[in-house]
Amino acid sequence: MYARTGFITAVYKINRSLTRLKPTSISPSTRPLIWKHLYSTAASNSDVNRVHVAVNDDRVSRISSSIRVIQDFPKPGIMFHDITTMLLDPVAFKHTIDLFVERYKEKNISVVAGIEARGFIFGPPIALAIGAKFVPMRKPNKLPGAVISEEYSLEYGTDIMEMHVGAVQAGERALIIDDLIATGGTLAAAIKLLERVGANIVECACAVELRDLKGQDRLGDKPLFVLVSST
Amino acid sequence: MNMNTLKTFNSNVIFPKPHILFSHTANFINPLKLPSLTPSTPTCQKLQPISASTPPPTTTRHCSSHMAAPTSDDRIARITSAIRVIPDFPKPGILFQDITTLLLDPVAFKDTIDLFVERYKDKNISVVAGVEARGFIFGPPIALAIGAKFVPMRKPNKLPGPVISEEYSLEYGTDKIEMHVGAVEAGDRALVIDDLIATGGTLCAAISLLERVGAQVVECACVIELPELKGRDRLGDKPLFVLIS
Repeated sequence: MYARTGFITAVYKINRSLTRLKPTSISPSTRPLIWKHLYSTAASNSDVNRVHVAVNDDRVSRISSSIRVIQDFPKPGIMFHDITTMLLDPVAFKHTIDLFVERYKEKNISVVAGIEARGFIFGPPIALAIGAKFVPMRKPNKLPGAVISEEYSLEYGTDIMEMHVGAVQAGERALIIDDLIATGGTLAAAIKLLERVGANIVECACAVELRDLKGQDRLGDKPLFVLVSST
Repeated sequence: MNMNTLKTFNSNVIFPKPHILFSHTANFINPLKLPSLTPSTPTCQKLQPISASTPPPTTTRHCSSHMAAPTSDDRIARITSAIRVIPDFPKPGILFQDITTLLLDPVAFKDTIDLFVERYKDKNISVVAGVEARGFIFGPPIALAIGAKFVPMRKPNKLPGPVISEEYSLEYGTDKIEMHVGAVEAGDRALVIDDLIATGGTLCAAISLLERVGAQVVECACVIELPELKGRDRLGDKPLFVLIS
């Protein structure tokens, strides 16, 4: 691990498991937002720097421990990461929003797109704090008026995501928010919708990443930022 | 709640650069105006008075008990004009009040949240319950600002783990909303949020769920009320606060 005063950059090689960075002794008053870059040894050079995980400091620890995991939901074999317990801890929820806001407030983001329905919980507070508009990405037939649709695959079958025509203009800088990235299918559909109207997607951001499902591979060249990376 | 953290959160709300406002509001917001949504219409003739323990800081000529600051009328006007009406959605004869255009105007969206936060921040609210899915847009910013927990009220089979359900009637048939067991405790003071109240069915079900676990529902709050559907009457003794009626 290599450290510089006030800012830490760490380089890790991922084998099968990821060693967690221990909390550092940086005091809260001097702590900027720090993140580490993950490299995959098996990936090509184009895959580097695409997944950023927040350093496991006090705030991230509190967030991580407030999320509960429910076995076999919605079906056997799936470990469901339930963020609703984090919403019951106002300090953890505020930390979550603050971590995103600190990262994006100077990035001239004009659009925060949130994916129905849990993206609606995290997107609007971020949008309000950074002065961006919030655009909901919804299941079919929920948005009234003119929409554009993108079909995407599920494990069995397909689903459709919609966005309002005219909500996002060409050239706008966009952030896509969801509570969790698993296979990356819904985020990929959201990326397509925004690109179809000419937006520039700055990053995708989620509270939780299910690392083993390799969702970031479906995001193309778009970077991903997560607070908690889980197996 | 920690006042320092509240200040930090509020200070992060930045007014947008002018080009952001003009670029999208000029092109996109084209509300189909109805008389009931024009700013000149009084917006609060039927609201319940706020409690005597929290007197309004200012008085204005109409409905002063519900307007917290002199600029409330300006803010309500901006919010009203940011909402568009779509006829015949989801079916013929229905005029759909679309709040997504409000979300495209960061100033109007911030004003919306501020109006709710000003009303509730000193009311010792410990729970903000938001009804899926548009209640998820307004509830969390309010909860964060007042230091309350946010509890989602969801359609069936979305929440993992143990839930309690409440059935309610639709125009044709019934539907259900669910809440997590243990999310709300007896004695919690709760606020129920949704974007709009029509017949009051979903809000009524939400109230029931909260009361079943022993919470005290302080108020229901919506951006929009459709008064002709008399949703207010379905809420029984629970007060309703809306920005636009």
